[in-house]
Amino acid sequence: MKKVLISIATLIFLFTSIYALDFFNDNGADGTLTIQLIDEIGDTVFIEEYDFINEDTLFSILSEEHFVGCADSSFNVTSNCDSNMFTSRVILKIDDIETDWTNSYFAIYVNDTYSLAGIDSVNLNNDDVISFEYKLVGGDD
Amino acid sequence: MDTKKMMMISLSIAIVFTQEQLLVFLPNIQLTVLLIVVFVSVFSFMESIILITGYVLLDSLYMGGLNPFYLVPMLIAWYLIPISYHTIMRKTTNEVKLSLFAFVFGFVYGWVFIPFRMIQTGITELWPYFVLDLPFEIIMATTGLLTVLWIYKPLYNRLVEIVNSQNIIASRMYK
Repeated sequence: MKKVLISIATLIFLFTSIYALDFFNDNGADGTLTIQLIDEIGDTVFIEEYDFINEDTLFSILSEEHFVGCADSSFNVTSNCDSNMFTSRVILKIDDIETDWTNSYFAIYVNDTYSLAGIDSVNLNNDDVISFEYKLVGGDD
Repeated sequence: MDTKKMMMISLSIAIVFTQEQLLVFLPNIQLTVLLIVVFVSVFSFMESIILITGYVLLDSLYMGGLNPFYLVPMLIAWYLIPISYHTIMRKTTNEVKLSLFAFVFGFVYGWVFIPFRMIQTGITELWPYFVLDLPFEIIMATTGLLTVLWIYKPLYNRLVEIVNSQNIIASRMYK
C-alpha cells in the first residue's frame, strides 16, 4: 500500500511539474517582435519583424520564414524538427549558418539578456528583440 | 578479484550500457539508476567503483569521444551511488529508502554537470542551468523512484540468488 501511495504521489508531482512548466511558457498576449541572426564574425545576417499570437512559439515563427536545422539524438543537423514530448528542440542551423554543438552553438538573447529558456519555451512579449548569436564553446560571453 | 567476479562486472556493464542505448530516444528515461543501485547492493564498494568506471568510460567513448566535460561529471555523479550506499544509506536493501534516494539522485545528477557546463560554455550565470535542466531532472528523479520502488527487490533477490548459486557450483567444481 505504501508503494502505491508513493507512486501516486510521484506521478502527481510529475504531471503537476509538467503542467506548471507549460503554464509558465505561455505568451502574455499577441504582438510584434524582432528576430535577428548574428553570424560567427558578429555580422547581422538578417533582422526582421514578425507578428505573433498567443499560441506561437519562437520556433514556429522562425521556421515559417527560414530554414531551421535541428539536432538529432546524436546532435547532428537534421531537417526533421518534429517536436519532442519532453524536451525543447535544439537548433543547430539557421539558413546558411551552422553550428556543431560540440564547438559552436546558437545562444538566444531576449532583449540583450541571455535566455533562460530554449526555442520552444521562450515567452514572447510585444516589442521583444530576440537574437540568435553564433557562439564558440568556451568563448567570451 | 576472481575471474568469475570480473565476468559478472563485465556483463553488468554490458547490461547497463545496452539498456541505456535502447532507451536513448527517451530523454532521461532509463533503467540506469535502478541497475546501478541493484549492482551496488550486490557488489562490494571497490567492485562497484570498477563497474561504474567501466560503464562511464564505455558510454563516454561511444557518445562523446571521452569528452572530459561529460566524462568527469558522469564519474563523480555515478560514484555518489556506491559512496552513499556504503555510508549514509548503511547498505540498506529497503526499496522505499532506496527509491527516495533515487529520486534525490535524479536532481543531484543534473547539478553535478553545472560547473562543467559553465566552464565549457563560458557562461557563468548559474540560474539558466538550473532552470533549463529542471524538466530533465524531474523526469530522471521520477523514473528513478518508480523503477527502484517496483523493480529493485525482484532484481536484487534474483541477482543474490544467482551469485549464491554460482558460488556453490564454483566451490563444488573446485572440490
